[in-house]
Formats: sequence, structure tokens, C-alpha cells
Amino acid sequence: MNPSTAVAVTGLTVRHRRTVALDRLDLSLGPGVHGLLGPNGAGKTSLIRVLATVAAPFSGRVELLGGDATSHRERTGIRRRLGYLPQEFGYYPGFTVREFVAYVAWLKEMPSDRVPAAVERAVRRVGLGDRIDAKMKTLSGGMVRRAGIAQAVVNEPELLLLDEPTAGLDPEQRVDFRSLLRELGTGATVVVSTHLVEDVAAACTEVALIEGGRLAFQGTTGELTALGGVSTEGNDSTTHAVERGYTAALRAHRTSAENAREALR
Amino acid sequence: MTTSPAPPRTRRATPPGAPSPLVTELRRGLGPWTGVAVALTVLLSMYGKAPDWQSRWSDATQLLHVTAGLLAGPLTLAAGCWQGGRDRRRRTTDLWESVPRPLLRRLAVAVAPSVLWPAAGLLLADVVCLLATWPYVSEGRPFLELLAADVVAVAALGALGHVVGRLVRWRLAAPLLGVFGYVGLAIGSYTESAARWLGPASEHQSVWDRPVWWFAPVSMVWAAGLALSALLAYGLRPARLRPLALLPLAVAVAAAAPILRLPTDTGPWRPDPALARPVCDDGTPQVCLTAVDRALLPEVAAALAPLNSRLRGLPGAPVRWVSGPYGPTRPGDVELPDTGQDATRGRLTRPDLYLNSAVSWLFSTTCRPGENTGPNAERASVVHLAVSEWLAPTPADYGVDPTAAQPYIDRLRAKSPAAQRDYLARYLAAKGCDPDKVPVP
Repeated sequence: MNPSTAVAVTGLTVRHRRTVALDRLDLSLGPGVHGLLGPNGAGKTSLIRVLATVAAPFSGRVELLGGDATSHRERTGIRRRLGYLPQEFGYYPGFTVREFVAYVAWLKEMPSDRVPAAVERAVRRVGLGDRIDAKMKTLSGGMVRRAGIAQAVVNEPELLLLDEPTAGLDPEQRVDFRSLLRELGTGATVVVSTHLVEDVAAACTEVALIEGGRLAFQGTTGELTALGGVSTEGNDSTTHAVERGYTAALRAHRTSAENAREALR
Repeated sequence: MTTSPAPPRTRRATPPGAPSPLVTELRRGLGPWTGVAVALTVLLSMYGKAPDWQSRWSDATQLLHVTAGLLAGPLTLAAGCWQGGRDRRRRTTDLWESVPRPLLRRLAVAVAPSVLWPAAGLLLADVVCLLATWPYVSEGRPFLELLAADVVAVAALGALGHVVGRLVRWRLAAPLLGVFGYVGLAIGSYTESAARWLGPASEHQSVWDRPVWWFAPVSMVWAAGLALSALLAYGLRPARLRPLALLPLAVAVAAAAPILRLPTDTGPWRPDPALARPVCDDGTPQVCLTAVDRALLPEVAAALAPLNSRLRGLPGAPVRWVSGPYGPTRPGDVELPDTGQDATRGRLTRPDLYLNSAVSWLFSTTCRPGENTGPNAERASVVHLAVSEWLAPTPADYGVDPTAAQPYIDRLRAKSPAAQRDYLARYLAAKGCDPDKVPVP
């Protein structure tokens, strides 16, 4: 494993009862912001949950931040350097934002003398500084999402896993959030699972496209865009170009998978 | 070497200290409300029965013990169960699974409101009730060790409820656990085996007893051991560490063993001669109460005074009125009714009723089958009623109809004092089970 590689997944298979969510997936991610794209049910959340050490793989090897995520001892060290925002972000409504983020900092075993400043910084970074002592139950949906991002970044994680982080954010908040993502990606490996191509276009340097539990494409955003070819429309935006690349990559993967199945018959 | 001037001191903007997770857990959510609910439940229940317990330490302690076990216990179980299901309801389970802090440490903090707040609520209620009892008691002390055991038992129930709440994925689990907890504790407290003394609601009614010294600490070990075992069994990871949960369980079982060997009926309670010690006035006849009711002595003597003035010097009249667990011990002793039933906050609430009861006890006799029968039995019965009503009329609201005895009562009242004393002497001499000997006024 390359020392700068934060995520190295080999032959990862995840099953939910009889359904195969991830099928012998190989993936390697280094510093930067990685968009995890794919249609609904492709296996994005299953992959994020394995990377967050929440779900155990059925088979395969998962190395995170240089450690074996399946080893109990190494997992604890990995978790200290991890940030995670689940797709369904749960919180305690009676806690204030400060209390909740400090609670997560404690759960992440941060040194207690560093917690107060880290909490303030994380909350300010997501633009909730003026609501830091407001109770979570008084926040709007977008604010709750931002509080979720604050808890994920409170420990300055080296590996940040965000599952649908922009759900519930208004357009202005999304712009701010993408800016934050770019900032975080300068020093850490950020994995953003999303089905919003514009998030990827605006914030991600690399893209991994998953389809049917397998890796359909991995490369830079530019490479994905190039797959879509040149538009004949005059007002083609970056987002449209990435969408075309996304669609082309998916179709290519499906055709290749179909051919492979045909060859097996 | 050159020295540079020291930089000007600037006030560094330091953020306010982040709240500790334990303090946050204790401040927010259901915890404080549980404490308030437990305190109010116990206090309101005790308030409704204040006349029954406010005069004696043992009455207050016993009722607090039963109320804590039967009401605060199930309430705490249910609240703990609800708190235990919080992560599932709030969907934080996924996030917490990704953190390095061990589950047992997380559990220790999360369970704190389920354990500490009900305990604090009960402790507050105990203190209020004991302070309300303090001005009116005569002797003895509150059984603080029993109350401490109750607090530990309630805290343990909170922890057990919390673990159940984490395990059972059902919203109705909390209220149902409360209901089943109430039924279970109630049945446990009335069962006819020594196992009932393991429950936190076992009842014992004697104001002259005290528990053996080891009972409260051993009960605490029993309750705390069970709770700790449940917490460890749930919270220890990896699974190979779980057998460690058997250690507190073994300690709890070891603590249960001497409790199960206690007598079924009296359990840990033993007579305390200091509490049952007679305390007498210097009147004639003497009035003797037990030490726990010493403060009532002037009130009881005053209530009996009209009767004593009629009986004084008569043959067959009582030499001593005695109250307590040992009953009459000497010739001439007559038993008094239990003052606890007629006294509230150090005062006899109905001296007239107490006097009436004392007269009934004075003339009561135990006759064998076949005695107290014959043609004059009914007349004797009416004469008994007439004498009682003459000496101490039954209060109007107590339903005794003296109509049949009224002619005899009128005759007794019409007699001169000397004739009254003469009749009373003959009546006392005829006290027994032969209706033919009962003199007609």
C-alpha cells in the first residue's frame, strides 16, 4: 500500500442477507476529494459504511490509513482518525450544537484540553457559529446537516466519509459546503457519496463510479468529463459535461458486463 | 546578546470549556424529568398517607421503603428503558458504531441519567419525609441504611431498564416494562417465601423492630451486583470479555444467600427492646406507653383522665394501662389500644374515640364456646353497652346505636356519685363470661 493511500480495498464483498451489495470491489483512494457516484442501490452507502468501520465485509481486505480495518486493535486507532456523516444523521435533540459536537469529540477520544477549541472551530467551519449554543431541535434541516458535518470534522480527520452530505442544504449552503470540501481535501482524504453530479463537478478532484456493487469507473473529474465527449449544444456547462461522462461510463460498464456474461454462456 | 522587549499582553479569546459528556447527559433529555417524577410520585403518595407515618421513624421508613419499591421502582425501570432505546429512536447507532470510545465507556455515561436522577429524586423525597417526621418522633432513629438500600435498588432498576431498552426494539417496551415491573414487584413483596426480602418493596409492620445490621449493605450488593452484571454483559467488547460479567453476578448471588436464609415472616426484623421499653406517667392508674410513643403520654393520660377518675380506688380497676408488643405483664395491667392508629404528628386526633376504645378493651373478655349464653345473655350485652356508653360515649359518626341501652344509661346517669361507684365496683367484679352475674343498673 502506498503510504499516501488512505483507503485500499481489495476484493471487498458485502452482503445483505441474499443480496450482494458490493461484489469483489477493488478501490484505492489517496488525499483529495473523491466523489462516490452511482445510481440508487449501486452500493455507495454499503461501501461508506464499511469504510467507516460500521459494517463488516463478507470477504475481502480493507486497509484504512495504513491499518487493517478488520483487526479490533487497529480499528480503534483508525477510528480516532476518521470522520463520518451517515446518510441518516441521528442526533440528540435536547443537546446544544456545542454539546453534541463535544460529545462526539469525546467519543472520538480527543484529548479533553483540545476539545473546546476544536468544537468551536468545527462549528464555525460549517457556518453555525452563531447557533453554537442553540438546541439541536431548534435547527432547520439544513442546519442539522451542517451540525452533522461539524461533528464529522471535529477531530480533523485524515479520512472523512460523507454520505449524501448536501441533502437538505439550500443552494447557497451547498456552495459554501463545496468550498469547505475543497479546503478539507487539501490535507485529508475525503470521500463524498452523492448522486448529485454538480457536487462532484464543483468539489471533487477524483471520481469513483459504482454500479451493481462493482467499480465502473475511477479517475479524475476531468477524465470522467472527457468520456462524455464534446457537446453539440452551445450553452454546455461543466455539470452537463460531467453528467454526460457519468452516463457514458455507466453505459460502457453495463455493456462490458453484458459482454462478460455473454462470454461465460 | 540582545533582548527584545516582551510582547504586549493580549487577552486571548479562549472558547468556553466544552461540557463534559457526563454533565451533558445528566442535564439533557429525560434524566432530570425522571428525577422530578420519582420525587413527586413518592412525595404525593406519602403526603396522602401522612397521618399514618409522621409520628414514628419506623412508620416513615417503612412506608418510604414500600413506596420506593412499588412506585419509584417501576417508574425508574420504564424511564431507564426509554432512555436505553434512545439511540435507536434517534438513529445515532450508525454514527456511534464508527467511534473509537469503547461501548462500555459510552454505556457508563449514557446510563448515568437512568441511574443517578431517579436515585437523586428518591433521596430528595426521603429527606423531605424524614424532615417532616423529625419534629413529632419520640425515640429511635430512621433506618437510613434501609433508605440507602432503596436508593441503590432504584438506581439498579434504572440500569436494568436501560439495558432492556437497548436490547428490545419496541416502543411499547418502556411502558410495558413499567407495568410488568409493578406487578412483579408487588407479587414479590407479598409472596410467602424468604425470596420476598430480595425485592425492594417487602413490607414489615412493627414499630418496635429494627433490621439486622447486615441486611441493608447486603441488599445493596445484591441489587448493584445484578445491575453491574447486566451492564457488563451488554457493554463488554469483544465478546470474549463478556464472561467477566459473571463476577458481579456471582457477588450478587452470594449476597442473596443470607437473605434467603432469613425467617419467612419477620425476615431481617428483630425486636428492639429499647424501642419497646415502657415509659409510664405517675398517675393512678398509671399510663404506660412504649418509648416510641413517649411524646404521646400526656395526651393519652389526658384522654383517659375522665375514666381514671371514675375507676380510681375501685376493686378490679386497672393498676396500669399498658401499650406495646408485650401486652399486660403484671396483675392489674390492662392493655391500651395502639396509639399509632389514633395519633397524628404527635397528637391524639380523636381523644374521645381513643377513650371509647380504651373502655372497650377494659371490658373485653375472651369467652369459650358455650359461655356467655343463657336467658340473660342479651340483657347482659345491653348492660355492657350501657356501661361503655356511660363511661365513654361512642362518637356519633361511628355507627353504634345505643337506643336499646338508653334506659340503663339514663339510670346510671341519674345515680349519685357514690351509687355510681358502687355499681361500677359490682360491675367490675362481675366481669367475665357469666351473663347471670352482670348487675343491672
